[in-house]
Amino acid sequence: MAVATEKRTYTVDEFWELCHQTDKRLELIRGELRELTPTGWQHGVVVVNATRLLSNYVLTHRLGIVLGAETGVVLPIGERDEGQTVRAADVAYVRRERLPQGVLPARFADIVPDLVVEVTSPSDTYAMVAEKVNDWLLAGAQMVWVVDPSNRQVSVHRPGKPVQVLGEEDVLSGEDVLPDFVCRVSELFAW
Amino acid sequence: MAVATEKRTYTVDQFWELCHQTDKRLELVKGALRELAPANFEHGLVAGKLQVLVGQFVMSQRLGYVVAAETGFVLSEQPATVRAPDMAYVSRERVGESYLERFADFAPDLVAEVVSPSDTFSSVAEKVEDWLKAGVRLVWVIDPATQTVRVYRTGQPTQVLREQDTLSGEDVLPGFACKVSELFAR
Repeated sequence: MAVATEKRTYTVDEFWELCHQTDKRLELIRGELRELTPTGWQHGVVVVNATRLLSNYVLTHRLGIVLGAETGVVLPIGERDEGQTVRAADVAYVRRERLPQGVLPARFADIVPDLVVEVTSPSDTYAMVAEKVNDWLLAGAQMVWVVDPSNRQVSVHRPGKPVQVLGEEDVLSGEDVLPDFVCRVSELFAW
Repeated sequence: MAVATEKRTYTVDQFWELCHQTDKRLELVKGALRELAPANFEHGLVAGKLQVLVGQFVMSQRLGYVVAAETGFVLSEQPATVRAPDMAYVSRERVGESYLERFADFAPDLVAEVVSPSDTFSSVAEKVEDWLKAGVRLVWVIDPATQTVRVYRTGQPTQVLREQDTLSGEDVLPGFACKVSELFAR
């Protein structure tokens, strides 16, 4: 979950510097800092399950990379008068073709993941999650999975398509973003 | 907000019977009961204001009907889903000659849902999905906590409206407009 912090605004560079002077976990949303608190265990288990399932598939088929929680992505969004945005997805997949040659960025990068997984916490409000989903899709993500451990549902968001809500017994598919990737929704909650 | 209740599943007809044996407010989602808790005051205020604004417009233009919260719409028979929006507008054409003394077996043209603090993202996303799938042309999700309105339409990106923006009836309710801030004014 995210908590609002002080009011001044930051650029991406200032934010990068700040992240190295603090031991807080932060996001930058339209120039403003949001502090991320440690998550509950239900959240933690789902993040690792999703990371493992996606990572196994992506590595086996040599499709690209899977990024772990807290990886900063600079989102090319916001109106002229708004500040910059650096978000950290819980899990993200980036296709090989969209990665730079040679080395991966040492800092935040403006490479928007093809697939983003966000796991909700009990304290997340509707608006906070809706804003995240909106930001990722606006920035160019092809698919966002919002996983809710409280009711064991996954909602699938794609640009220009109706949202799809899946229950535990349903099959979660990578569709054309991660072709042939499938898992049962229940696998995300397994422990 | 909705609270999960017992585990067995219901058909629309069984649910109709049940609703007459209980004084609970219920919805049926994929065959399972969801109990609706009374809303907080702010929620009621926003939903009430919306009913007045949209209601006045619809009546003055003789376009159709605005129904209050708790009106049941059958969105799907299999699995059985009966939902009750916070506000809905149905055009004359959609109502047609339908029998009105049961749950509506047609979808509204416009639905508004007001978010409660206890609503999870996925429960709201599920509602929006159900309404759009059933044929609702325009869904407004109104969040008093952030004073924003999210506008959902099939095949179009979600639009986020803030205080200074104008909420429009688009082609569903042509000519209807109100400031988002008006919905939240006390």
